[in-house]
Amino acid sequence: MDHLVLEIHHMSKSYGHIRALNDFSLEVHKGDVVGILGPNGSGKTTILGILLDILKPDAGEYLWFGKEPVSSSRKKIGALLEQPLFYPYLSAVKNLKIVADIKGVSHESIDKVLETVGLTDRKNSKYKTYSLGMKQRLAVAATLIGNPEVLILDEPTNGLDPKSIALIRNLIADVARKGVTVLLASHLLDEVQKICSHVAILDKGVSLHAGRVEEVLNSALRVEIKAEDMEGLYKEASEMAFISECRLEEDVLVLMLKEDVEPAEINKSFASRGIYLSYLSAGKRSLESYFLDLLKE
Amino acid sequence: MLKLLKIDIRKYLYSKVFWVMLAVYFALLVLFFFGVEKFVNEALKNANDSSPVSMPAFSIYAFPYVWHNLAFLGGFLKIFLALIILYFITSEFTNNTIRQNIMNGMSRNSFILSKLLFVMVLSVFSALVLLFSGFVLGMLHTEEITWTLMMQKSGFIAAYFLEVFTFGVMAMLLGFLIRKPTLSIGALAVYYYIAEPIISAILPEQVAQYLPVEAMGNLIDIPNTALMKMFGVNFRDYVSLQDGITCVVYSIVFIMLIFLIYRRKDL
Repeated sequence: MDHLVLEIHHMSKSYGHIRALNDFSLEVHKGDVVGILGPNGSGKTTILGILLDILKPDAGEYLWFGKEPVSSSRKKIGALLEQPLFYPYLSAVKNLKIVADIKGVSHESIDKVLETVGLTDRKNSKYKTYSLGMKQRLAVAATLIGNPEVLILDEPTNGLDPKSIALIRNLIADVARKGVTVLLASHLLDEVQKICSHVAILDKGVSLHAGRVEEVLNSALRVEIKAEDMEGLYKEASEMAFISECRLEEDVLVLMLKEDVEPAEINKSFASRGIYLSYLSAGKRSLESYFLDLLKE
Repeated sequence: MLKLLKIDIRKYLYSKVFWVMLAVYFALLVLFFFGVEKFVNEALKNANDSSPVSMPAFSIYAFPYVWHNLAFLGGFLKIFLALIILYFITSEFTNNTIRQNIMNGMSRNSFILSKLLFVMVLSVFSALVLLFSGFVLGMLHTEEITWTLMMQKSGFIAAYFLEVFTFGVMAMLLGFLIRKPTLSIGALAVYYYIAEPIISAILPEQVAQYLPVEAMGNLIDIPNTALMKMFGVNFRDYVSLQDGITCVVYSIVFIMLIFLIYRRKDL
Protein backbone atom coordinates (compact mmCIF):
# COMPACT_ATOMS: atom_id res chain seq x y z
CA MET A 1 0.00 0.00 0.00
CA ASP A 2 1.65 3.20 -1.05
CA HIS A 3 0.72 6.04 1.18
CA LEU A 4 1.01 9.74 0.61
CA VAL A 5 4.09 11.38 1.96
CA LEU A 6 3.22 14.84 0.75
CA GLU A 7 0.10 16.57 -0.50
CA ILE A 8 0.06 20.11 -1.82
CA HIS A 9 -3.32 21.68 -2.44
CA HIS A 10 -3.85 24.85 -4.48
CA MET A 11 -0.80 26.65 -3.23
CA SER A 12 -0.15 30.25 -4.27
CA LYS A 13 2.52 32.70 -3.31
CA SER A 14 3.40 36.21 -4.46
CA TYR A 15 6.35 38.45 -3.80
CA GLY A 16 4.88 41.91 -4.10
CA HIS A 17 3.17 41.89 -7.50
CA ILE A 18 5.22 38.99 -8.82
CA ARG A 19 3.26 35.78 -8.73
CA ALA A 20 5.81 33.11 -7.91
CA LEU A 21 3.40 30.23 -7.52
CA ASN A 22 -0.12 29.92 -8.81
CA ASP A 23 -2.58 27.28 -7.64
CA PHE A 24 0.02 24.53 -7.48
CA SER A 25 -1.03 21.05 -6.44
CA LEU A 26 1.01 17.88 -6.17
CA GLU A 27 0.87 14.46 -4.54
CA VAL A 28 3.95 12.49 -3.68
CA HIS A 29 3.84 8.84 -2.66
CA LYS A 30 6.34 7.00 -0.54
CA GLY A 31 9.39 6.04 -2.54
CA ASP A 32 8.73 8.41 -5.43
CA VAL A 33 11.65 10.32 -6.84
CA VAL A 34 10.01 13.49 -8.05
CA GLY A 35 11.82 15.91 -10.29
CA ILE A 36 10.54 19.45 -10.20
CA LEU A 37 11.54 20.96 -13.49
CA GLY A 38 11.38 24.50 -14.62
CA PRO A 39 13.44 27.37 -15.92
CA ASN A 40 15.08 29.81 -13.51
CA GLY A 41 12.49 31.75 -11.56
CA SER A 42 9.68 29.31 -12.28
CA GLY A 43 8.84 28.79 -8.62
CA LYS A 44 10.74 25.60 -7.80
CA THR A 45 12.57 27.01 -4.80
CA THR A 46 9.41 28.79 -3.65
CA ILE A 47 7.58 25.45 -3.42
CA LEU A 48 10.40 23.80 -1.51
CA GLY A 49 10.78 26.84 0.75
CA ILE A 50 7.10 26.67 1.67
CA LEU A 51 7.31 22.93 2.35
CA LEU A 52 10.14 23.65 4.80
CA ASP A 53 8.39 26.55 6.58
CA ILE A 54 11.00 29.00 5.32
CA LEU A 55 8.34 30.77 3.28
CA LYS A 56 4.67 31.25 4.05
CA PRO A 57 2.14 30.62 1.26
CA ASP A 58 -0.57 33.21 0.53
CA ALA A 59 -3.11 30.49 -0.13
CA GLY A 60 -3.39 26.73 -0.13
CA GLU A 61 -2.15 24.09 2.24
CA TYR A 62 0.19 21.17 2.39
CA LEU A 63 0.35 18.01 4.44
CA TRP A 64 3.46 16.08 5.39
CA PHE A 65 2.85 12.40 6.15
CA GLY A 66 -0.89 13.05 6.05
CA LYS A 67 -0.81 15.62 8.83
CA GLU A 68 -0.75 19.36 9.22
CA PRO A 69 2.91 20.29 9.06
CA VAL A 70 4.68 20.80 12.39
CA SER A 71 8.34 21.32 13.14
CA SER A 72 8.83 17.70 14.16
CA SER A 73 7.70 16.48 10.74
CA ARG A 74 10.69 18.34 9.31
CA LYS A 75 12.98 16.24 11.48
CA LYS A 76 12.21 13.33 9.13
CA ILE A 77 13.23 15.43 6.11
CA GLY A 78 16.73 16.14 4.93
CA ALA A 79 16.84 19.34 2.92
CA LEU A 80 19.18 21.43 0.84
CA LEU A 81 17.73 24.72 -0.27
CA GLU A 82 19.35 26.83 -2.99
CA GLN A 83 22.72 27.34 -1.29
CA PRO A 84 24.46 25.70 1.61
CA LEU A 85 23.78 27.48 4.91
CA PHE A 86 26.30 26.92 7.66
CA TYR A 87 28.14 28.75 10.42
CA PRO A 88 31.28 29.99 8.65
CA TYR A 89 33.54 29.87 11.71
CA LEU A 90 32.65 26.28 12.62
CA SER A 91 34.12 23.11 11.13
CA ALA A 92 32.08 20.63 9.12
CA VAL A 93 31.79 18.32 12.12
CA LYS A 94 30.64 21.10 14.46
CA ASN A 95 28.12 22.34 11.94
CA LEU A 96 26.72 18.85 11.54
CA LYS A 97 26.53 18.44 15.32
CA ILE A 98 24.14 21.40 15.38
CA VAL A 99 22.09 19.76 12.62
CA ALA A 100 22.00 16.47 14.54
CA ASP A 101 21.06 18.21 17.80
CA ILE A 102 18.17 20.03 16.15
CA LYS A 103 16.96 16.79 14.61
CA GLY A 104 17.37 15.09 17.97
CA VAL A 105 19.60 12.29 16.64
CA SER A 106 22.98 11.07 17.83
CA HIS A 107 26.26 12.34 16.44
CA GLU A 108 27.26 8.86 15.33
CA SER A 109 26.26 9.26 11.70
CA ILE A 110 28.34 12.43 11.19
CA ASP A 111 31.57 10.67 10.23
CA LYS A 112 29.68 8.35 7.92
CA VAL A 113 27.86 11.07 5.98
CA LEU A 114 31.07 13.08 5.66
CA GLU A 115 32.74 10.03 4.21
CA THR A 116 29.84 9.51 1.80
CA VAL A 117 30.43 12.93 0.26
CA GLY A 118 34.22 12.64 0.43
CA LEU A 119 34.89 15.30 3.03
CA THR A 120 36.59 13.17 5.67
CA ASP A 121 40.01 14.77 5.08
CA ARG A 122 38.67 18.25 5.67
CA LYS A 123 36.10 17.51 8.35
CA ASN A 124 37.82 19.66 10.95
CA SER A 125 38.46 22.65 8.69
CA LYS A 126 36.34 25.71 9.13
CA TYR A 127 33.42 25.97 6.74
CA LYS A 128 34.57 29.33 5.41
CA THR A 129 37.76 27.74 4.08
CA TYR A 130 35.75 25.36 1.86
CA SER A 131 35.49 25.69 -1.90
CA LEU A 132 32.03 26.08 -3.43
CA GLY A 133 31.90 22.40 -4.36
CA MET A 134 32.89 21.32 -0.86
CA LYS A 135 30.22 23.55 0.66
CA GLN A 136 27.66 21.98 -1.63
CA ARG A 137 28.82 18.49 -0.68
CA LEU A 138 28.64 19.34 3.02
CA ALA A 139 25.07 20.52 2.45
CA VAL A 140 24.27 17.18 0.85
CA ALA A 141 25.91 15.41 3.80
CA ALA A 142 23.73 17.43 6.19
CA THR A 143 20.59 16.17 4.45
CA LEU A 144 21.59 12.60 5.24
CA ILE A 145 21.89 13.11 9.01
CA GLY A 146 19.43 10.98 10.95
CA ASN A 147 18.36 8.74 8.05
CA PRO A 148 15.57 10.97 6.71
CA GLU A 149 12.42 9.51 5.15
CA VAL A 150 12.34 12.33 2.63
CA LEU A 151 15.11 14.18 0.84
CA ILE A 152 14.53 17.62 -0.58
CA LEU A 153 17.29 18.73 -2.90
CA ASP A 154 17.25 22.07 -4.66
CA GLU A 155 19.79 22.05 -7.50
CA PRO A 156 22.09 19.69 -5.59
CA THR A 157 24.68 19.50 -8.36
CA ASN A 158 25.07 23.27 -8.64
CA GLY A 159 28.71 24.27 -8.84
CA LEU A 160 30.03 20.72 -8.68
CA ASP A 161 32.70 19.15 -10.85
CA PRO A 162 31.71 16.13 -13.01
CA LYS A 163 33.08 13.66 -10.46
CA SER A 164 31.04 15.18 -7.65
CA ILE A 165 27.96 15.35 -9.88
CA ALA A 166 28.25 11.62 -10.52
CA LEU A 167 28.72 11.08 -6.78
CA ILE A 168 25.57 13.02 -5.88
CA ARG A 169 23.53 11.26 -8.57
CA ASN A 170 24.63 7.84 -7.39
CA LEU A 171 23.83 8.88 -3.87
CA ILE A 172 20.28 9.91 -4.82
CA ALA A 173 19.81 6.65 -6.73
CA ASP A 174 21.12 4.81 -3.65
CA VAL A 175 18.76 6.39 -1.15
CA ALA A 176 15.87 6.04 -3.59
CA ARG A 177 16.53 2.31 -3.75
CA LYS A 178 16.23 2.21 0.02
CA GLY A 179 12.72 3.62 -0.28
CA VAL A 180 13.50 7.21 0.61
CA THR A 181 11.20 9.68 -1.08
CA VAL A 182 13.08 12.36 -3.00
CA LEU A 183 12.05 15.78 -4.25
CA LEU A 184 14.61 17.12 -6.65
CA ALA A 185 14.35 20.58 -8.11
CA SER A 186 16.48 21.09 -11.15
CA HIS A 187 16.76 22.81 -14.44
CA LEU A 188 19.04 20.09 -15.71
CA LEU A 189 16.69 17.93 -17.71
CA ASP A 190 18.84 14.93 -18.31
CA GLU A 191 19.54 14.82 -14.59
CA VAL A 192 15.83 14.44 -13.91
CA GLN A 193 15.40 12.00 -16.77
CA LYS A 194 18.18 9.85 -15.35
CA ILE A 195 17.14 9.62 -11.72
CA CYS A 196 13.48 10.52 -11.32
CA SER A 197 10.41 8.33 -11.39
CA HIS A 198 8.04 11.28 -11.51
CA VAL A 199 8.22 14.77 -12.84
CA ALA A 200 6.37 18.03 -12.31
CA ILE A 201 6.98 20.74 -14.83
CA LEU A 202 6.59 24.35 -13.81
CA ASP A 203 6.67 27.64 -15.58
CA LYS A 204 6.00 31.04 -14.08
CA GLY A 205 4.54 29.41 -11.00
CA VAL A 206 2.04 27.30 -12.93
CA SER A 207 2.17 23.52 -13.08
CA LEU A 208 2.25 22.47 -16.73
CA HIS A 209 2.46 18.76 -16.27
CA ALA A 210 2.83 16.24 -13.50
CA GLY A 211 3.17 12.49 -13.83
CA ARG A 212 5.50 9.58 -14.24
CA VAL A 213 8.61 10.22 -16.25
CA GLU A 214 7.81 7.34 -18.65
CA GLU A 215 4.35 8.76 -19.24
CA VAL A 216 5.87 12.06 -20.11
CA LEU A 217 8.38 10.43 -22.39
CA ASN A 218 5.78 8.13 -23.92
CA SER A 219 3.43 10.95 -24.53
CA ALA A 220 6.34 12.28 -26.46
CA LEU A 221 6.03 9.23 -28.72
CA ARG A 222 4.01 11.13 -31.16
CA VAL A 223 3.38 9.95 -34.69
CA GLU A 224 1.69 11.84 -37.47
CA ILE A 225 0.08 9.91 -40.30
CA LYS A 226 -1.97 10.57 -43.41
CA ALA A 227 -3.92 8.40 -45.80
CA GLU A 228 -6.43 8.96 -48.55
CA ASP A 229 -9.36 7.88 -46.38
CA MET A 230 -8.81 9.88 -43.21
CA GLU A 231 -12.03 8.70 -41.56
CA GLY A 232 -11.21 5.07 -42.10
CA LEU A 233 -7.73 5.76 -40.83
CA TYR A 234 -9.10 7.31 -37.68
CA LYS A 235 -11.48 4.39 -37.11
CA GLU A 236 -8.73 1.80 -37.46
CA ALA A 237 -6.27 3.75 -35.36
CA SER A 238 -8.67 4.09 -32.45
CA GLU A 239 -8.93 0.28 -32.33
CA MET A 240 -5.21 -0.41 -32.18
CA ALA A 241 -3.84 -1.63 -28.87
CA PHE A 242 -0.55 0.27 -28.88
CA ILE A 243 -2.20 3.63 -29.46
CA SER A 244 -3.34 5.48 -26.41
CA GLU A 245 -4.85 8.44 -28.12
CA CYS A 246 -5.52 9.65 -31.62
CA ARG A 247 -6.85 12.93 -32.83
CA LEU A 248 -7.20 14.80 -36.09
CA GLU A 249 -5.13 17.90 -36.35
CA GLU A 250 -5.77 19.83 -39.53
CA ASP A 251 -5.04 17.32 -42.27
CA VAL A 252 -2.99 14.81 -40.26
CA LEU A 253 -3.90 12.21 -37.71
CA VAL A 254 -1.80 12.47 -34.56
CA LEU A 255 -1.17 9.26 -32.64
CA MET A 256 0.09 9.00 -29.09
CA LEU A 257 1.78 5.65 -28.57
CA LYS A 258 1.65 3.69 -25.35
CA GLU A 259 5.00 2.10 -26.04
CA ASP A 260 7.91 2.49 -28.32
CA VAL A 261 6.79 1.07 -31.66
CA GLU A 262 8.95 1.24 -34.75
CA PRO A 263 7.50 3.27 -37.66
CA ALA A 264 7.77 0.17 -39.87
CA GLU A 265 5.55 -1.71 -37.41
CA ILE A 266 2.97 1.05 -37.51
CA ASN A 267 2.98 1.06 -41.28
CA LYS A 268 2.62 -2.72 -41.32
CA SER A 269 -0.32 -2.66 -38.89
CA PHE A 270 -2.27 -0.28 -41.09
CA ALA A 271 -1.35 -2.13 -44.27
CA SER A 272 -2.62 -5.36 -42.79
CA ARG A 273 -5.97 -3.63 -42.34
CA GLY A 274 -5.98 -2.44 -45.92
CA ILE A 275 -4.94 1.12 -45.35
CA TYR A 276 -1.82 2.46 -47.01
CA LEU A 277 -0.22 5.45 -45.40
CA SER A 278 0.72 8.34 -47.63
CA TYR A 279 2.65 10.09 -44.88
CA LEU A 280 4.27 9.00 -41.62
CA SER A 281 6.38 11.08 -39.32
CA ALA A 282 7.58 9.70 -36.02
CA GLY A 283 9.81 11.26 -33.42
CA LYS A 284 10.80 10.05 -30.02
CA ARG A 285 11.55 13.08 -27.98
CA SER A 286 13.69 13.53 -24.97
CA LEU A 287 12.37 15.14 -21.85
CA GLU A 288 14.21 18.19 -23.00
CA SER A 289 12.30 18.63 -26.25
CA TYR A 290 9.04 17.83 -24.46
CA PHE A 291 9.86 20.38 -21.82
CA LEU A 292 10.74 23.06 -24.33
CA ASP A 293 7.51 22.35 -26.22
CA LEU A 294 5.49 22.67 -23.04
CA LEU A 295 7.07 26.00 -22.27
CA LYS A 296 6.25 27.27 -25.73
CA GLU A 297 2.56 26.51 -25.39
CA MET B 1 14.68 24.70 26.94
CA LEU B 2 17.96 23.04 27.93
CA LYS B 3 18.20 21.49 24.50
CA LEU B 4 17.84 24.91 22.88
CA LEU B 5 20.50 26.32 25.13
CA LYS B 6 22.82 23.45 24.27
CA ILE B 7 22.34 24.06 20.54
CA ASP B 8 22.94 27.78 20.96
CA ILE B 9 26.09 27.18 23.00
CA ARG B 10 27.43 25.09 20.12
CA LYS B 11 27.04 28.15 17.93
CA TYR B 12 29.04 30.50 20.17
CA LEU B 13 31.52 28.23 21.89
CA TYR B 14 33.99 28.24 19.00
CA SER B 15 33.30 31.74 17.77
CA LYS B 16 36.31 33.96 18.33
CA VAL B 17 34.21 37.06 17.76
CA PHE B 18 31.87 36.05 20.56
CA TRP B 19 34.61 35.55 23.13
CA VAL B 20 36.46 38.71 22.14
CA MET B 21 33.30 40.80 22.40
CA LEU B 22 32.38 39.22 25.72
CA ALA B 23 35.89 39.75 27.09
CA VAL B 24 35.87 43.39 26.04
CA TYR B 25 32.50 43.91 27.68
CA PHE B 26 33.70 42.20 30.85
CA ALA B 27 36.89 44.27 30.90
CA LEU B 28 34.98 47.51 30.40
CA LEU B 29 32.55 46.68 33.21
CA VAL B 30 35.33 45.79 35.65
CA LEU B 31 37.35 48.82 34.64
CA PHE B 32 34.31 51.04 35.18
CA PHE B 33 33.50 49.50 38.54
CA PHE B 34 37.00 49.45 39.94
CA GLY B 35 38.20 52.69 38.42
CA VAL B 36 35.34 55.02 39.14
CA GLU B 37 36.23 55.91 42.69
CA LYS B 38 39.66 57.10 41.76
CA PHE B 39 38.09 59.16 39.01
CA VAL B 40 35.42 60.68 41.24
CA ASN B 41 37.85 61.48 44.03
CA GLU B 42 40.25 63.05 41.57
CA ALA B 43 37.45 65.23 40.28
CA LEU B 44 36.46 66.16 43.81
CA LYS B 45 40.01 67.06 44.70
CA ASN B 46 40.11 69.46 41.80
CA ALA B 47 36.78 70.87 42.84
CA ASN B 48 38.08 71.22 46.40
CA ASP B 49 40.96 73.33 45.26
CA SER B 50 38.66 75.90 43.75
CA SER B 51 35.92 75.70 46.32
CA PRO B 52 35.76 77.44 49.67
CA VAL B 53 33.81 74.56 51.17
CA SER B 54 35.93 71.48 51.68
CA MET B 55 34.59 68.16 50.51
CA PRO B 56 35.89 65.01 52.12
CA ALA B 57 37.14 62.16 50.00
CA PHE B 58 34.63 59.38 50.41
CA SER B 59 34.11 55.87 49.26
CA ILE B 60 31.32 55.09 46.89
CA TYR B 61 32.10 51.43 47.43
CA ALA B 62 30.85 51.04 50.97
CA PHE B 63 27.95 48.70 51.68
CA PRO B 64 25.10 49.19 51.02
CA TYR B 65 25.58 52.10 48.59
CA VAL B 66 27.92 50.11 46.38
CA TRP B 67 25.00 48.27 44.77
CA HIS B 68 23.26 51.43 43.70
CA ASN B 69 26.45 53.14 42.53
CA LEU B 70 27.71 50.22 40.47
CA ALA B 71 24.29 49.41 39.02
CA PHE B 72 23.96 52.99 37.87
CA LEU B 73 27.40 52.90 36.26
CA GLY B 74 26.96 49.51 34.63
CA GLY B 75 23.81 50.80 32.94
CA PHE B 76 25.93 52.95 30.66
CA LEU B 77 27.54 49.87 29.16
CA LYS B 78 24.34 48.07 28.24
CA ILE B 79 24.68 49.39 24.69
CA PHE B 80 27.76 47.19 24.36
CA LEU B 81 25.84 44.12 25.41
CA ALA B 82 23.16 45.02 22.87
CA LEU B 83 25.92 45.09 20.26
CA ILE B 84 26.82 41.46 20.99
CA ILE B 85 23.14 40.50 20.82
CA LEU B 86 22.58 42.29 17.51
CA TYR B 87 25.74 40.90 15.97
CA PHE B 88 24.80 37.31 16.68
CA ILE B 89 21.11 37.53 15.89
CA THR B 90 21.67 39.28 12.56
CA SER B 91 24.46 36.85 11.65
CA GLU B 92 21.86 34.06 11.70
CA PHE B 93 20.12 35.97 8.93
CA THR B 94 23.18 37.04 6.93
CA ASN B 95 24.55 33.48 6.98
CA ASN B 96 21.01 32.19 6.40
CA THR B 97 21.62 29.71 9.19
CA ILE B 98 18.16 30.49 10.57
CA ARG B 99 16.86 28.74 7.44
CA GLN B 100 19.09 25.76 8.09
CA ASN B 101 17.83 25.60 11.72
CA ILE B 102 14.16 25.76 10.69
CA MET B 103 14.61 23.31 7.81
CA ASN B 104 16.16 20.79 10.16
CA GLY B 105 13.10 20.82 12.34
CA MET B 106 13.46 23.64 14.82
CA SER B 107 10.18 25.49 15.13
CA ARG B 108 10.16 29.22 14.52
CA ASN B 109 9.08 29.78 18.11
CA SER B 110 11.94 27.66 19.41
CA PHE B 111 14.38 29.68 17.38
CA ILE B 112 13.09 32.93 18.86
CA LEU B 113 13.10 31.34 22.30
CA SER B 114 16.73 30.30 21.85
CA LYS B 115 17.67 33.92 21.13
CA LEU B 116 15.68 35.06 24.16
CA LEU B 117 17.68 32.61 26.24
CA PHE B 118 20.83 34.10 24.75
CA VAL B 119 19.75 37.58 25.87
CA MET B 120 18.83 36.19 29.27
CA VAL B 121 22.18 34.44 29.75
CA LEU B 122 24.12 37.57 28.77
CA SER B 123 22.03 39.68 31.17
CA VAL B 124 22.63 37.20 33.98
CA PHE B 125 26.35 37.30 33.18
CA SER B 126 26.33 41.09 33.39
CA ALA B 127 24.43 41.04 36.69
CA LEU B 128 26.88 38.48 38.08
CA VAL B 129 29.83 40.73 37.22
CA LEU B 130 28.04 43.48 39.13
CA LEU B 131 27.39 41.15 42.06
CA PHE B 132 31.00 39.98 42.35
CA SER B 133 32.49 43.42 41.79
CA GLY B 134 30.13 44.94 44.34
CA PHE B 135 30.91 42.18 46.81
CA VAL B 136 34.68 42.54 46.50
CA LEU B 137 34.63 46.33 46.55
CA GLY B 138 32.18 46.45 49.43
CA MET B 139 34.30 44.06 51.47
CA LEU B 140 37.37 46.19 50.91
CA HIS B 141 35.75 49.54 51.64
CA THR B 142 33.35 48.95 54.47
CA GLU B 143 34.52 49.38 58.05
CA GLU B 144 32.02 47.24 59.85
CA ILE B 145 30.42 44.61 57.68
CA THR B 146 27.16 43.09 58.77
CA TRP B 147 24.88 40.82 56.79
CA THR B 148 21.99 43.30 56.89
CA LEU B 149 24.19 46.14 55.77
CA MET B 150 25.40 44.06 52.87
CA MET B 151 21.96 42.93 51.79
CA GLN B 152 20.45 46.37 52.08
CA LYS B 153 19.74 47.85 48.68
CA SER B 154 20.82 44.65 46.93
CA GLY B 155 17.52 45.01 45.08
CA PHE B 156 19.52 47.22 42.74
CA ILE B 157 21.13 44.07 41.33
CA ALA B 158 17.70 42.81 40.27
CA ALA B 159 16.85 46.25 38.88
CA TYR B 160 20.12 46.22 36.96
CA PHE B 161 19.33 42.82 35.50
CA LEU B 162 15.91 44.07 34.42
CA GLU B 163 17.41 47.17 32.84
CA VAL B 164 19.98 45.21 30.83
CA PHE B 165 17.53 42.47 29.90
CA THR B 166 14.85 44.89 28.69
CA PHE B 167 17.40 46.70 26.60
CA GLY B 168 18.68 43.37 25.26
CA VAL B 169 15.15 42.37 24.26
CA MET B 170 14.70 45.71 22.52
CA ALA B 171 17.93 45.06 20.57
CA MET B 172 16.66 41.58 19.78
CA LEU B 173 13.46 43.02 18.31
CA LEU B 174 15.49 45.36 16.11
CA GLY B 175 17.73 42.49 15.03
CA PHE B 176 14.75 40.35 14.04
CA LEU B 177 13.13 43.24 12.20
CA ILE B 178 16.12 44.65 10.35
CA ARG B 179 18.21 41.45 9.99
CA LYS B 180 21.32 43.33 8.88
CA PRO B 181 24.13 43.88 11.39
CA THR B 182 25.30 47.42 10.62
CA LEU B 183 21.83 48.74 9.88
CA SER B 184 20.33 47.35 13.08
CA ILE B 185 23.23 48.52 15.25
CA GLY B 186 22.90 51.95 13.63
CA ALA B 187 19.15 52.00 14.22
CA LEU B 188 19.61 51.12 17.89
CA ALA B 189 22.27 53.78 18.37
CA VAL B 190 20.19 56.44 16.62
CA TYR B 191 17.15 55.59 18.71
CA TYR B 192 19.11 55.38 21.95
CA TYR B 193 21.24 58.50 21.57
CA ILE B 194 19.17 60.74 19.30
CA ALA B 195 15.56 59.81 18.59
CA GLU B 196 14.32 59.05 22.09
CA PRO B 197 16.03 62.00 23.79
CA ILE B 198 14.34 64.30 21.25
CA ILE B 199 10.94 62.66 21.60
CA SER B 200 11.33 62.72 25.35
CA ALA B 201 12.11 66.43 25.28
CA ILE B 202 9.00 67.19 23.26
CA LEU B 203 6.60 65.06 25.29
CA PRO B 204 5.45 66.13 28.73
CA GLU B 205 7.37 64.51 31.59
CA GLN B 206 4.45 62.29 32.73
CA VAL B 207 4.34 60.69 29.27
CA ALA B 208 8.05 60.71 28.48
CA GLN B 209 8.87 58.64 31.54
CA TYR B 210 7.12 55.72 29.86
CA LEU B 211 9.36 55.73 26.78
CA PRO B 212 11.39 52.51 26.78
CA VAL B 213 14.94 53.82 27.19
CA GLU B 214 13.71 56.47 29.63
CA ALA B 215 11.92 53.83 31.69
CA MET B 216 15.00 51.60 31.72
CA GLY B 217 17.12 54.54 32.86
CA ASN B 218 14.61 55.53 35.53
CA LEU B 219 14.89 52.11 37.12
CA ILE B 220 18.15 53.14 38.70
CA ASP B 221 18.25 56.83 39.51
CA ILE B 222 21.46 58.83 39.85
CA PRO B 223 23.06 57.85 43.16
CA ASN B 224 23.15 60.50 45.85
CA THR B 225 26.59 61.59 46.78
CA ALA B 226 27.78 64.01 49.35
CA LEU B 227 28.27 66.38 46.46
CA MET B 228 24.66 66.12 45.33
CA LYS B 229 23.35 66.50 48.82
CA MET B 230 25.43 69.60 49.27
CA PHE B 231 23.69 71.12 46.31
CA GLY B 232 20.41 70.13 47.80
CA VAL B 233 19.58 67.64 45.04
CA ASN B 234 18.09 64.46 46.30
CA PHE B 235 17.71 61.52 43.94
CA ARG B 236 15.66 58.46 44.54
CA ASP B 237 17.71 55.84 46.34
CA TYR B 238 15.27 53.00 45.84
CA VAL B 239 13.77 51.20 42.87
CA SER B 240 10.23 52.23 42.14
CA LEU B 241 7.78 49.47 41.38
CA GLN B 242 6.24 51.54 38.63
CA ASP B 243 9.48 51.68 36.62
CA GLY B 244 9.97 47.97 37.18
CA ILE B 245 6.52 47.20 35.84
CA THR B 246 7.06 49.48 32.83
CA CYS B 247 10.23 47.57 31.93
CA VAL B 248 8.61 44.17 32.38
CA VAL B 249 5.70 45.26 30.19
CA TYR B 250 8.09 46.49 27.49
CA SER B 251 10.00 43.20 27.58
CA ILE B 252 6.80 41.21 27.18
CA VAL B 253 5.51 43.45 24.38
CA PHE B 254 8.80 43.29 22.46
CA ILE B 255 8.96 39.51 22.77
CA MET B 256 5.32 39.05 21.75
CA LEU B 257 5.92 41.31 18.75
CA ILE B 258 8.76 39.09 17.53
CA PHE B 259 6.64 35.96 17.94
CA LEU B 260 3.69 37.56 16.16
CA ILE B 261 5.70 38.96 13.24
CA TYR B 262 7.45 35.65 12.67
CA ARG B 263 4.23 33.67 12.46
CA ARG B 264 3.73 34.96 8.93
CA LYS B 265 7.08 36.29 7.80
CA ASP B 266 9.29 34.67 5.16
CA LEU B 267 12.77 33.81 6.36
